[in-house]
Amino acid sequence: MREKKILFVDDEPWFAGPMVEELEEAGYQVIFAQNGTETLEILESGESIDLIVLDIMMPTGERITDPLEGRRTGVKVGEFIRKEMKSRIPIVYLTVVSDQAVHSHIEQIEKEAGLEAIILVKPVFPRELVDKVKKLIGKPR
Amino acid sequence: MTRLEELINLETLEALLDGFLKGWDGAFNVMPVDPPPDYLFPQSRERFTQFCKKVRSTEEEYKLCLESNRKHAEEAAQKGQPISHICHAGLLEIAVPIIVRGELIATILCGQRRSWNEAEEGEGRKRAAETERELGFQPGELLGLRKQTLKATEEQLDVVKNRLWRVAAHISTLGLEKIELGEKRDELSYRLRESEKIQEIMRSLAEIVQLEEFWSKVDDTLSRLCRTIGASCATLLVHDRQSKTPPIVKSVSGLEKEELVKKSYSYDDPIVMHLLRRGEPEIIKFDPSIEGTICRDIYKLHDGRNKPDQVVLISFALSGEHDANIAFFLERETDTRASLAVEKELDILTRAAPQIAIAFQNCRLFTEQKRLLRERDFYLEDVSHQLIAPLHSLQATSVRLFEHYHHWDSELVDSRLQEIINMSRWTARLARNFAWVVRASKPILRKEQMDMKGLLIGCARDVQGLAATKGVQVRVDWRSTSALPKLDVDRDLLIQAVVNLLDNAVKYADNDTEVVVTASLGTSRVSIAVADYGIPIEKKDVERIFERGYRTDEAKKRVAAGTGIGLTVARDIIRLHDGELSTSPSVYDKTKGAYRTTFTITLPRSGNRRDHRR
Repeated sequence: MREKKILFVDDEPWFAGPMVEELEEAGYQVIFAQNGTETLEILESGESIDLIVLDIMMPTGERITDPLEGRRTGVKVGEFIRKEMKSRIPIVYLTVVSDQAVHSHIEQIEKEAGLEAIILVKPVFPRELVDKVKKLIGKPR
Repeated sequence: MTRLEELINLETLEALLDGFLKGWDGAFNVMPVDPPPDYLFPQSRERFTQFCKKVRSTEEEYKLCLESNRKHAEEAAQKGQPISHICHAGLLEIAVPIIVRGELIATILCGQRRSWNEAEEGEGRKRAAETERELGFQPGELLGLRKQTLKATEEQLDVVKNRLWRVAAHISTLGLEKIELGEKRDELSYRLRESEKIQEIMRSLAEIVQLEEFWSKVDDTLSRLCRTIGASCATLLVHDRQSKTPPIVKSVSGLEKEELVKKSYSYDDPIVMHLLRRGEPEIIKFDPSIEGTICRDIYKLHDGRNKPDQVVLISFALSGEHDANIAFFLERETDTRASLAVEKELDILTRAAPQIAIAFQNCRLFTEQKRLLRERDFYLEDVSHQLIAPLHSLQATSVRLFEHYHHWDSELVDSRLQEIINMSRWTARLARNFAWVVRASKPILRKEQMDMKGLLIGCARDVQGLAATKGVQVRVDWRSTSALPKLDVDRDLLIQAVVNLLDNAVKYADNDTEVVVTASLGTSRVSIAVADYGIPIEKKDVERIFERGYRTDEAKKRVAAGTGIGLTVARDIIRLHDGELSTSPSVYDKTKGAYRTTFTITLPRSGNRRDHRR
């Protein structure tokens, strides 16, 4: 059985470092995207991804438009994955955004897809993220 | 039609007539224009002569009397003065019309006496004999009763006529006053109702608080004004003085069709001309004859009926940049009150225009305020994002170190500790940037002689953590920076400025490129340049790039919103040192295949201004 693969989306890989290390140590394979468009391209490339860790405030890239200049890019990406790509791939939102309106919007998107929204608001202990991932997609192999 | 009892109390009238007719042996009677068949006023027949009592004893005869009365009343009304003649039954009758403003209200009738005039008396006898026959009385019965009736002298007749004419004139005056008062009251209450409606419209204008609401509310307001003043429709034209485009119709009210909205009209259009002139409010002729004018289009939108024939126009300044005009399209009416209204409409427009302008300006202020508040919220969110992200990473790195150090080799532990130091410095610098922009006054510089090359190398090390994740090399040019003299600067502040510049360069650099720091020496100043290869700065961005929160279009797409204060703080710090921080449009570097962007710090060779001048 292949390693489970996580797409980690964050525009600041420097800050993502320790979280990624923890996931990799737990046995997951991690690949990166640094903006909204890159995320979509990886998903559309046919690469098999088991879970997405999605930042919210990040650059859009060419394909995504966000009137708030990237402050809600992650939500737009999540919406695209559920509504356009019709994908039910688990998404863990990992963000500093604690705005209730944004959380409700994400909950609405996930609810329409019959899923429960998972939002981790930073700061988050690396272990918390790994536990959440395990709960969603099981052990790495 | 005015009724007699509306003008005077009937009992008073009866008493009045009784008094005036003292000594006249015969009844009087006041008859309205269209009396019912059994009409009798005064009710009592006490003063009736025996002859008249007898004649009016049957219903048939009563009708004949009434008919005769009516005929005489009409004749008197036509002549507009009292008349006297012999009635159908053969006695004298005086008819005095009560006329108010040309309209017959009632007639005072009085008589039941024989005439002094022989010819009239002969005619009277003849008519009485005919009546006696027609109504089937005993021969001589009526004529006998007639003989008992007193004769009136010419003088008596004149006195009665005059007296009754005075009573009628008095009632006419009363009536006229009453009618005029009524009309004034109607007009006043009409104006009051109208003014209440307008006040309500003005109030609702004052309540508009959002610019998005403004256009729909102004539409509604104009519709209501149209209804209030009876205009068929109204347009609101807006002209933006800055743009060179012709004025645009922003609102059409009163017409269901909305095709005129957003349509622009040429500068030759009379209504547009008025807008541009911002002339006095005026009433102009509605002229639908020229194709492509507002009047023509309004004309086409009316379905044949009620086409307007005049336009009430007012132009005013909507805001500092916008002129506007309102045009009410009206049909001229024949009604006096309505034609008076045209002047009134100008008055209403003159009152509405400033209200609309105030509402518009309030909306803009409110919207601007809302935008600023929103911006502030986003700024706070950006700030917390900027600070929490590295703190989160710091926490995660520390936790992992704590959990694993016992089985990690010392090299790994060292690298993680170094990471923690780098991130702490990074976060501290961000915090200092924020502290800088919110501080109320400029800080006092604590200057010391600094070796610049060492300072620059230290700064480069500070951004290494971020640079490494992008494969960006931060290189301090050895040769040129070695030539830099020691400078009198505030060490911490200068480091903050340079790191801000380097951070900016790394952030906007393409992956796997180089950020280079070089120096050059002038006679009185030194320059330190930071160059990167990546997202370019265009000419239009050069000045604005130092504004707080400004980001180029390309940066918006490719780099997440930062705090937008790094360059602002850097420039502030350099200027405090009597230096300058500047940039110029990016230059395409063929050999690297990328745009090179350079920020240049210029500092006096001595950081002290007085020294520098000497």
